[in-house]
Amino acid sequence: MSVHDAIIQILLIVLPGLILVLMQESNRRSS
Amino acid sequence: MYAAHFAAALAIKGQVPRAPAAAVMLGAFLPDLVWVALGLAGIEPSQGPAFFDDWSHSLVMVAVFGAVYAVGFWQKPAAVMFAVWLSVFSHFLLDVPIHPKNIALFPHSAAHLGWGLWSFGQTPWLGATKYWWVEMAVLSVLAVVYIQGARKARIPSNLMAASCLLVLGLHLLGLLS
Repeated sequence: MSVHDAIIQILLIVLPGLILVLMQESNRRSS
Repeated sequence: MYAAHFAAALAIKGQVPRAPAAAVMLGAFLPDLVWVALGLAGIEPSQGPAFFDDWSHSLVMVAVFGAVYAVGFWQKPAAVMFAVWLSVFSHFLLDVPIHPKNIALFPHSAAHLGWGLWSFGQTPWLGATKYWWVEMAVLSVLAVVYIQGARKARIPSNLMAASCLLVLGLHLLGLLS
């Protein structure tokens, strides 16, 4: 696996994951 | 699978609202993150006939990753620890039906789990691959599990809908590749 492939793979996991986490946690803070 | 792992994390979060969202999200992708690291190190070739992912994806290793990861939450209730372990183990459950290579029982094991359906999954059907549709079905079931749990936890319906749409959008992006 090249470094380029690895970065793409990690971004594909981290970016959507971060958005979903922030969405779930925003609810916890507001409730 | 890709989007289905996000759906699994959401389903677990919906059923165990006290579980930290970041923990289950990271757990759901832990084997893939290990796979990327080992791929970079040249330990797990990711392309062609040399494809090998026993260290990151075998049944025993995923169960162990989950256990080690869950121990980090020992101060939390048992339900949270189990949710965190399950988030990791769900990766195996989702990958075992269709995977580039049948998943090993443990690293370098002769025994493998699965039905060798990768080629079947790559055949086209209704504008996508059969694998895409199988993942769509799995993702739908997990979305129902998430919604059912999230409703009990009184998570606002707009948040539920947005979460499901994001995961669906990620799955739809797979049609472009």
